[in-house]
Order: sequence, then structure tokens, then C-alpha cells
Amino acid sequence: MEGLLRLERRSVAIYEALASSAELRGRAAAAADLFLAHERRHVEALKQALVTMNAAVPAPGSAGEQPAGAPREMIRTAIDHELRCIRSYHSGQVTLKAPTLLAGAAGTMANEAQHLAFLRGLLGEDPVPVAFVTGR
Amino acid sequence: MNQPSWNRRDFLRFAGLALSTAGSVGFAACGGEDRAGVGVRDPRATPERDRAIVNGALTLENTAVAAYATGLPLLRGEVRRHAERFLAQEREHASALAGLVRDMGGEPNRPKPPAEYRAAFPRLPDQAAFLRFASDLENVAISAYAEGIPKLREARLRQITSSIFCDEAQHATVLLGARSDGDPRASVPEPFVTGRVRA
Repeated sequence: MEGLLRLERRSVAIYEALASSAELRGRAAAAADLFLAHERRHVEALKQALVTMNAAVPAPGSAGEQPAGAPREMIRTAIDHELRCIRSYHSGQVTLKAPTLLAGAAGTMANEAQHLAFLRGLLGEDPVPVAFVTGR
Repeated sequence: MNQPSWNRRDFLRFAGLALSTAGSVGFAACGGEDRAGVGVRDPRATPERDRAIVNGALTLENTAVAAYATGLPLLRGEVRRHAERFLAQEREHASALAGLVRDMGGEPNRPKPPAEYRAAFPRLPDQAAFLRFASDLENVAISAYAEGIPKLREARLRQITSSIFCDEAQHATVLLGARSDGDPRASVPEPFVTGRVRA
């Protein structure tokens, strides 16, 4: 759960950078705003889950290197990170046991998969290239 | 304008399936789980229930194969290319799920005859009608996976079905995008995918 929280916090940082980029326009800018709101919801849900488990919520660490460059490069950074998130949630289907956590992990993983499809579409790539989405 | 819609009730009636009502959203009320995520699993989970859930998912996938096969002649351009890909992917899902049911000692649910699907589907006069129908159908499947995955006892089954769940969620994003000129709010309508938010 703490690993997922770290990844989601990194997602927030990535989409904050995208959303504040003056170079991103139109659908790409609207998607960055929307996906940032989604990632913030994921962070809050994971923090709440840790609190419910009587576990300490780790303090935010370094947000990592911010995506920079042309819009395509920034979107590529977001795609790579979404793939990592999906991989972690996919692994979580093995390590998690409680039904509510499994449901939350699956619903969040599917949302990241939708972000991924939308971002690929923005780059003119096949949005759904594989039948079994497992991340990377 | 004709606006066909296939909702959850239509599907359940057609498929003869009984799915439970939707559960929580997010990670709410996770109870006795510890920090590492190793905790209390659903005591009702059994191999027999796993097999029934996977076989129910197979019925959904068989229906999706029939839907995309029915709709393809109506489609053009990029939408058609996506639908061809989605049809191939639904066939992959059906094949994988049938294999899992066999591995669990069960008999995979068979597809219905094509005429039976066509009779049950709404009238599909054009591409717009198909897009609406297909996105409704994908949402029915998404909702079923969202409910079924946490109930599965075997971790391997949860992983396979969650990877299919994500693929169906991506199909929905593309279909909803095609209906909305790529509006992200319409294409990705909820932060925790449940299939309950409809366009």
C-alpha cells in the first residue's frame, strides 16, 4: 500500500507538471487537468486506507524529476509512469487479500489503464494494443 | 434519433446470469487488513465460486464477440479499425477464460447461436447506434469484473481477470471518445472504474 501511495504521489507530480505547461493545449490540457484530479483522489483513498488499517501514512518524499520538454515528451513520461502504476496494481492482486482493497486496487488500475489509452491516442498511437493489460 | 441502449438488466435477462449489486468505491472500509496487504480474505471464496465467476465472465466475452461481429459492417475509418482490434481482443479473452474454466474442471459456457444474439441486441441502424450499444455493453462487462475480481479466491485468477478488466475499460474509453469528439471527461468519467457511470 505504501509503495502504491508513492507511485500515486509521483503521478500527481507528473500531471501537475503537465497541467501547468503552457505548451499543452486543447484536449491534452483538459486531460492533464482531469487526470491530475483522478490521481489526487487515488492518493486520498490510499491514505484513508492506511489510516483505517491503523498504519502511519508516510510523509511525501521527493516528487522525482519533473517531466519537461515538448508536449510529446511530457506525455511520453506520463505513459511510462502509468505503465509502472498498472504493473504495481496488477502485482497487488496477488499480495492484497481483503475484498475492499482488491476492489479499490482493480478500480484504480483500470482508471490508470484508461489514462494510458487516452494518452496513447493523443500521440496518434494505438490506444489499446494488447488484450491483457499488465503494465510494465 | 434512434438511441439503443443495453443495460445491466437487459444483459442479465439475456445471459441468465445473477450478479450482485455493486460494492464500494475506492479502498473504503478495508477492515483488518495490515499494512503489507496480507490480511483477511473473503471467507465465502471457494474454488466453485471462482469457477462460476470466471464462467460468467466468459458469457460476457462471448456476447462482446457477437456484438463486435454484428457491428463491424456498420463502421468506417478509425472506428472500424478499433472495433476490429477489439473483436480480436474479446476473442482472446474468451479463449483464455474458457481455458481457465477447463483447468478448474468445469465446462465453459458456450456462445449462443448468432441469430439469438442478433434477436436480443437493440436495432443497430448505423455507426452512432453501434457506438452507444457497444459502450453500454462494455460498461456492463466492466461492472461485472469490478464486482467479481475481489470475490476470487485464487490470486492468479484475479490477475488475469484484472488484466481483462483494464482492457475492457480501455475499450470503453475509446468508444466514449468516439462518441464525444475525444472529450477526456466523457472518455474517462470516473477515478475508480466501476462501470456505473454511463455517458
